[in-house]
Amino acid sequence: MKRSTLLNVFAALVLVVLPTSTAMGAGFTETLKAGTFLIDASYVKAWINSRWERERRQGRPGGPDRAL
Amino acid sequence: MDPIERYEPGGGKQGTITAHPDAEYDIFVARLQYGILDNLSVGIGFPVVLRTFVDPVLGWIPGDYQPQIGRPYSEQDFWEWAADMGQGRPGTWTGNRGRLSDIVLGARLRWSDWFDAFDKAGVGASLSIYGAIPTGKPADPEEVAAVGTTMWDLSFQGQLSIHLSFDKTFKRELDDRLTLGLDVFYDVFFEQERTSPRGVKNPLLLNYAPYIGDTYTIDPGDFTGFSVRADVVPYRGPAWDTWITKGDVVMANRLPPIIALSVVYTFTHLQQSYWYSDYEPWDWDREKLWKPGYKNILVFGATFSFFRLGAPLQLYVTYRTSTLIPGKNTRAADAISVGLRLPLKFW
Repeated sequence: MKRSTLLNVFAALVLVVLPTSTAMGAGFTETLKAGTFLIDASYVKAWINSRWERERRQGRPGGPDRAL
Repeated sequence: MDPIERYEPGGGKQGTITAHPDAEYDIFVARLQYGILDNLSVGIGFPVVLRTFVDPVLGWIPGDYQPQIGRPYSEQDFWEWAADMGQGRPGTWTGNRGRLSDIVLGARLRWSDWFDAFDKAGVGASLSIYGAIPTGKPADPEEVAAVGTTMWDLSFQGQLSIHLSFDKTFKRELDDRLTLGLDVFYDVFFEQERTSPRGVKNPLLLNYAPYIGDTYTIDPGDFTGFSVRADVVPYRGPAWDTWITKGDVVMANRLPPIIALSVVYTFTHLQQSYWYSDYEPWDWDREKLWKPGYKNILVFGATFSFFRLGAPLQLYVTYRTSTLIPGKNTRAADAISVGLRLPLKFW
């Protein structure tokens, strides 16, 4: 397959997937166009710093005391 | 980690070991979504925990007066005594390397597409359902500081989650630069059976099995809450006549903006968690630590789309915090995530 043909196919795919000017991934109700896939890969770094909880507990009784 | 009250036969209460741990999770999340209809999409997510680190940050609350030393046990007294009994002071823990969490299946139906009135008002409405396949692992019961990879360990959503959502766009009034959203949800956690520790690694601290039974059951309690969000387009950017639009600038102008920002506030109510074992006093001790509560979560996001410039991908970064607005009886977790999205169609 010629390179230009490949590009045309991919261009058609992108336009099918993205029909509007709104930000893709915005809002709670977004769905994909029929027949399209979306691959999403992410790295997440999460942390629980109990020092925050300790300080809060000392300052305000009744604060977070749930165990890890 | 729960406080551990220590008693010595004939010596009364030695004291209470407390733990206020610091924990870190590194997680890779891969998601694949598919559009069955224009208003019906399904998806599957694979969260893989790359590494977990826990520092138990142990403390000590002195107990009864000990006649043999003329005062209550200090923390140092206790750990010296424990060492003589074969129980070392627990240190940091690192684990869950490459361990799968619960796989999430989801479906979203934007039912507002069936009603013209919603479209005329610039409102979208959807119903989403997510279910977790229990592929995650609970923590090793014999480890003092270990944590697991189940949905409850990660605590970001329930094992069954139902969302009713609404979005309002302002295409004419604000050139489609603002989207406001409202989401209400109910997350269900099912009862979970856990193995009781037998004191294999920590003979003094984790030896519950003889009196609570070989297993016990936790009913974590459900989550209820709502989210509000705003998506703003501060910079739409140029629309180049690239191969994506076959040189058509008008088409390029319909592609997503180069920069979009979002802020989401979520209030989540947490129900009481219940423990069920062969020894009710032990259950009550656990339940005192898992009272009803709530968390206030803020998520700030930025999305960078390169479609207008000829590259069919999107990068995003989000910062999620539950420490900025304090909650109650909750684990205050913060998270940063970076990711990319790539749309594909194979025919």
